[in-house]
Amino acid sequence: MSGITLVNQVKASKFLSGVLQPVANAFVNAAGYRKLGLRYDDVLREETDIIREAVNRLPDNEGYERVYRMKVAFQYSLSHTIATKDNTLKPEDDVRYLTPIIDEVAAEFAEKEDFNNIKSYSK
Amino acid sequence: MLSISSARKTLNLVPTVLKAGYATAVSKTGNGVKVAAIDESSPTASVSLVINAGSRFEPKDKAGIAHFVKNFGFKNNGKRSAFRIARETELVGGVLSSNLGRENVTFTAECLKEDVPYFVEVFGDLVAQTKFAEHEFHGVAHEVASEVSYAESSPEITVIEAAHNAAFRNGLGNSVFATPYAEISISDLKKFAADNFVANKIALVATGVSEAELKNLANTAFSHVAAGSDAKAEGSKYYGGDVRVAQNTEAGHVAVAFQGAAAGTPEFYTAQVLRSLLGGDRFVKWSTAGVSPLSAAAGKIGHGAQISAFNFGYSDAGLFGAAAKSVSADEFKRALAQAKFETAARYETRVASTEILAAQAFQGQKVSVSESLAAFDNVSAADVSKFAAKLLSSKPTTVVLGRTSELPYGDALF
Repeated sequence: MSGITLVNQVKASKFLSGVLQPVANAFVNAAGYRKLGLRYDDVLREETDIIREAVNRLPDNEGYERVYRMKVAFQYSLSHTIATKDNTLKPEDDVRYLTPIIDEVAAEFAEKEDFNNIKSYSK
Repeated sequence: MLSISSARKTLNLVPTVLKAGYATAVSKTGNGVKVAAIDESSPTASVSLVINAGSRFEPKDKAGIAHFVKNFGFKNNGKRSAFRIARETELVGGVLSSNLGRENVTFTAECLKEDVPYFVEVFGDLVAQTKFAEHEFHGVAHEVASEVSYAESSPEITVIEAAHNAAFRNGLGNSVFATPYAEISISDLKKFAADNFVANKIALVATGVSEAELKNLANTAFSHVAAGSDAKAEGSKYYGGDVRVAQNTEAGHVAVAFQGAAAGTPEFYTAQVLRSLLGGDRFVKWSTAGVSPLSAAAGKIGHGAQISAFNFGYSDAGLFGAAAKSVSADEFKRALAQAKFETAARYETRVASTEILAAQAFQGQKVSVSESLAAFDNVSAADVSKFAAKLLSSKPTTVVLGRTSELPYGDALF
C-alpha cells in the first residue's frame, strides 16, 4: 500500500526480473492461499473503509464468485484439507480483480481529504 | 412547459434556452455544436448546455431513460469526479441545475463572469466523457424514483402527461418522468448517451459572455465530441383520444386539449394570445377588473374550482387546451363557451396585447422573445377566431382524473 517500492525498477531490468521473479513465485506458492482456491485479493483485509467500499462496488458476478471462493476456502479449513494439485488455483487465474477498484476508491478518499483541508485566500 | 428541475429555482425570469432568441447570431463550432451568447451587463453569467435528448428520443422499450440521463448530469467524468465538480462549484459560488423537457435536456450553471470558462469545460467533459459508473447508478435510480413518486402524487402533472400521451402516443407522447416498469441498465444509458450526445444535437447558450469568447471556449471544450448523423427525428402526428385515470382524489380533474401550433410559427403566437385571453390566472388578486373569462367562471363556480388554459409548443407540433379542477361537466362546458364568446370581444385593440405581455412579465411567467409586440401586431382578431375554429376541428384529447365513475366522458364535453 504505502512505503518504498522498487517494483518498477525490477520489472524494467531483465537481469533483476530474471533473478527475482522465480523467488517471488516460490514465495507465493509457499504462502498457500492458492491451495485453498483463493485469489490474492480475496485475502486482503476488508475491515477498512476503503476496501469495504471497493468490495461494495464490485460487479455482481464478481461479488458472487468472491463469496463462493471464500465458502470453498472455509470448507477446506473446516475439514482440515487443502486442494489437490488439479484444484489449486492456477497462476493465470490469480487476477488482481479488486486492486484497480481499491486504487479508485483510495484516490476518491484522498481527494475528499484534500478538499476538506483546502486553504482559501482572497486575491 | 412541463419539465423536471433539480436544484433550487433560478432567479432568472426568462429561461436561458429562450434567451437564445435574444442573441444576435447563433454560430457553430468546428464540429457543429451551436453556440449562442447574450452579452448582458449583469455581474453574473449563466451557461447552459442544451442537448436535443428529451423524452421524445427515448427508444420504445426504454421509456424513462431520458429521466436517468438528466439525473446523471455532473456525475463522475473522465477528468473530474462528481465530488470534485460539486466542491469546485461551491468554491466559485456557482449553482448547478438540470432540467428535462419533452425535446431537450438542459444543464445549467449560474456563476460569475470569470468562471464561465470553467463551466464550459465541465460541460464539454459531461458530453464527451461521463463515466456512467455502476456504483453511481443506484443513487441515481433512487433520485429518479423519488421524482417519479412526486409526479404520481400530483394530479396536475398526471393530467398533462396523460394528455400528451393520448395526443401524440409515442415521441412527444412519451412521459417526461420515468415509468415504473421499464428496465433501464447502465449499458442502456451509455448507448443512449452515445447516440444522442453528438455535436449536431448540442447547443451552448450563455449570458454575460461575448459571442467570440464563448465560441472559442466551445471549440476547445467540445473538440472531442462526435459529429453525429443527419438523421431526422420522426415527425409528430396528432391522434387525440380519451384517458381516464382512477385516483382517490376529492377534486376531479378534467382537461381538454386540441392540436396546437408548433413553437415559433405565426400560429403559435396566435395560440399564445388565445391562451392569455382565456387565461385563468388572476393578475390582480380579488379584483374583478381585467379578469379573464376562465378565472371568472372558476370564481363563479366556487368550491375551490380552478380552470386555466395551456399552450405547449414543440419543434413540430403543439398542444392547446384547458385544464379544470373541481368542476362538473356542465360547468366546464359553460365556462368554455363563455370564454369563446368573450375572447373575440376582448381582443380588439393593441392595448390588449400590451396588457397581456405586461401581465406575463409581471407574473414572472416565461416571456419568449418572440412574444414581442411586433409578433403580436401580426395577430388579428380574425386570426384568433380562425385558430379557435381550427382547434375545434381536430380530434379532442380529454383526460379525466379522480373518481372516474362520477366524472363525464369526452364526448359529453364536446
